Amino acid sequence: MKTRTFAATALLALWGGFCSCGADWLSVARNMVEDGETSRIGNAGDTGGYVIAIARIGDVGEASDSEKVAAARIAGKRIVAGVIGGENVAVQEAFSASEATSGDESSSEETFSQSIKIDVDALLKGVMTVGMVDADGGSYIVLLATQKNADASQALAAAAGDSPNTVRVVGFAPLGGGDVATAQRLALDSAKSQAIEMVLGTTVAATDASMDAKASAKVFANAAGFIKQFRIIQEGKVGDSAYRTEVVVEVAKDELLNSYKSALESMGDVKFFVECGDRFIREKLIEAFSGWGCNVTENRDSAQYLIACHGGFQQTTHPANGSDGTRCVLSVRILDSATGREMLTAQNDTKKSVTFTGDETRRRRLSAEKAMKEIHATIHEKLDEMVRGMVASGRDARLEFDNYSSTYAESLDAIVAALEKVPGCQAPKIAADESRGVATVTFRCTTDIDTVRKFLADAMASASIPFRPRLTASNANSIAFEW
Amino acid sequence: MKTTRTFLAALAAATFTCAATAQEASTSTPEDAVGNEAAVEPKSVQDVVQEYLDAKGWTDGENAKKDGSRFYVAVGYGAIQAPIDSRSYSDSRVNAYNKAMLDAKAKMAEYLEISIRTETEHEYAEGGFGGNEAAETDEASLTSKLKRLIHAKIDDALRAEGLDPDSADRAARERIAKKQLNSDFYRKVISTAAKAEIMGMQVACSFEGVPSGKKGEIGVVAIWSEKLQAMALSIGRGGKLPSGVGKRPVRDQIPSDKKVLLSTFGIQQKIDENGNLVLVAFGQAGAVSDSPQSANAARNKAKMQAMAAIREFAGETVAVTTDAMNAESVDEFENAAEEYNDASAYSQKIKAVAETMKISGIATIKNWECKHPITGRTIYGAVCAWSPDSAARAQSMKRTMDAAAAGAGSVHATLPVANPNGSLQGQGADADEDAF
Repeated sequence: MKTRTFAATALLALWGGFCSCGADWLSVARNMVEDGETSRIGNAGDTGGYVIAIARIGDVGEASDSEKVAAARIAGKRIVAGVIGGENVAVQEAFSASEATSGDESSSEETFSQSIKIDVDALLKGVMTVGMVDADGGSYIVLLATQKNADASQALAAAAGDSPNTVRVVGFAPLGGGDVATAQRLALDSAKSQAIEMVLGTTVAATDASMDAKASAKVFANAAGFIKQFRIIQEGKVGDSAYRTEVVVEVAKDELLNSYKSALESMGDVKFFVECGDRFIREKLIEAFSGWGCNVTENRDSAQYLIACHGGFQQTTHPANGSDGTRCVLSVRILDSATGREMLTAQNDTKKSVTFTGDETRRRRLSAEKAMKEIHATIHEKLDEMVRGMVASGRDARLEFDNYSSTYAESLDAIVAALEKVPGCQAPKIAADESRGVATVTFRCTTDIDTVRKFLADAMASASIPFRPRLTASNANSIAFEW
Repeated sequence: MKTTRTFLAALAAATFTCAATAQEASTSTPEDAVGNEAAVEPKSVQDVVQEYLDAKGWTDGENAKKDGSRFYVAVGYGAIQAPIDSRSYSDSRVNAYNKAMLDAKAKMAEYLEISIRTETEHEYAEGGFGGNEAAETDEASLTSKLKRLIHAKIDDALRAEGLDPDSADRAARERIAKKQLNSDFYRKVISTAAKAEIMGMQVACSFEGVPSGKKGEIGVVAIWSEKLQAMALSIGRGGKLPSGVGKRPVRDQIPSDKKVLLSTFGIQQKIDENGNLVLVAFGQAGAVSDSPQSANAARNKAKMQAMAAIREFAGETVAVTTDAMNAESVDEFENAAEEYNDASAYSQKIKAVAETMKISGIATIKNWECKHPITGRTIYGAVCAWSPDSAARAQSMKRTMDAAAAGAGSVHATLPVANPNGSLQGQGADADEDAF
């Protein structure tokens, strides 16, 4: 048993660490394992509501130790995501029985079919790896989500104890070949990532359709840019296999909460293109959107969203002295570049952009500056609403098919049926144009396109599709195929 | 409660008889074992279900509790179709439970509203045929089967005279028919259809019986009450339900005996230590092979079955159609011969659909595994729990996460006991009568 305990600790070290938590949760977890319980939702005085999830490590074919732990951690997160985010459950059953007799001959027939589909698509935040438990002949990873930790500011304050913007975490890294310097750096990186993951969260997508089960977890943010400073409390080798670093990390809370970088990254590589006739306003818009964490590109074709700015200048006269004045009319819209759907629209208050200073060229410049300054807050507010909406209820995404003809209609239907099995994909609609040889399936998507592609490939592999299209390309909002 | 105890004692005695038989068989010759087997007539699942209902004082249909509240009881049965030595036997047991529950739900749907259509026909004819009967032939109709029988008889008579029925002209067919003095044909068709949204139906108790050398069967006593319906509505709509007197923690109410768990299927409402209502769902599945991956898949499938039970409890559309036909015909021929024919047909179709519903707060409170007493194969089981309280707690955590994103205990009566002849009788966990 002692050997197994050491093995479990070593496995966890290879995965990359767990937070410093009270030992009580491990006792709870040990009792849960012994009772065959894998998830519990409850209320504890110091943490508020909590969900504790237990996933068995191992049984993953020929995976390495670190892969086994990673897989168990994803399985644990899938459990937490199901409890908190909700399991989407659909059931269909059909039964038929018949019998017939004619004279001395009789026959009977009975058929029964059942299909259960369960999928999960949730954002988790504040989920901690409490540790590992060796019990009941196996090793189990223990994850904990608490109401207290789910709130970023509370978590930061509670977990750190030092200041409201710090969190205390433990990072582990394998000591591959005795390279202490590398292990030291990896352990620190692991700790930083965990600090961010605790605060920003992880998206979890999973699907269970009768026989097939698959889960995928994606770290919602990477550590870069969000760590203000850190202090190593304790570090050193754990046996000969791992390096452990306990660190207090100060998270750049303001930057973290104001930037949409993480949210947009969770959807994939989402890009924006600014289209504006006025170079000055265009530069100001690029600056503003980049500052808010949006990836602004100079390549219009690679952008999923178009920031279209229209406007002009109007002449006016001063009501008191009759001097010439200029005011700027500015309208900013964000459009889905593929469908043209308007995502956001903002207009400035033209009265606030009036200027009477200098010649017309100078007045235009000053008026535009005023307009940009005034509209900045409005755009930020609406962008905030747009991104939150995209994270919470999804965005428009597409499957595009080239060389389409009616020959492939049945295959297209089968692919749409497969898409409906992909977690985070809802309400698919087919638009097929045989004359142009193009078919498009639009759907609402709450996850990143890489995850969609991965799950769709699995769903298509097990579906009956007469003609399978070839994957040709994908970007943040679309996957392209051709027949 | 007294009646329950009496019933349980009776069942325990029955089980003891089986166990004693098994013991004797192990120490005696095969011939003796056959004798012993004949001496103990195992009860059918129907018998055990009826005894259960009698002990409870319930009848199939509407019942009343001591406090005057009404509840509905529906009994359903499902056959375990896979052979005992099949790898699919474990899943076939689960299918049998699902069929039994579907049967019970169909009865509930029919109780709520049923449309019934009957069609009776009596035809007496002498001599030749009138009209073009071939044009009336409808492959799908039950009547056509009867008419085809009559045609078949004429075809036989034609063949007896050395004529090919396919090429025989109308005159030849009429000549043959004329040899038939008269025919008397009777037919009655009964068709029923029912469709209802069934919600809040739980298992009071499930029973499994596998007679030696025969196909097994699972019986389910299902119940519906307004209290259960209120719980079902709270899954979709949320909200808190009134609490009552607390009992043991729900985890302690789950049968610890794996053999009882083996015969426990579906969903039951229980009362926790705080007096709150909690739904407990039982799922199980067999592994297709002995590999760890297969075991993992079976654990997952068991959990899915439990979650599906919660989803179904929250409400599903159940549609059932049945068609039954009885018919007979008597043909009298010139040679004073008379030929009697009868035919009957019955068909039932049940479909239940529970569309996708997002359910938060489901926890897996127990995983178990045990060897099936007859097949020796491992069965994996999962027990999931859901309550308005757990859902509210989960949703509260979800809201926090979303907001920050963009910024009387069960009494376990009879243990399933396998005798050396491969029979099994098992009873699942009993429902808490205070909870529905």
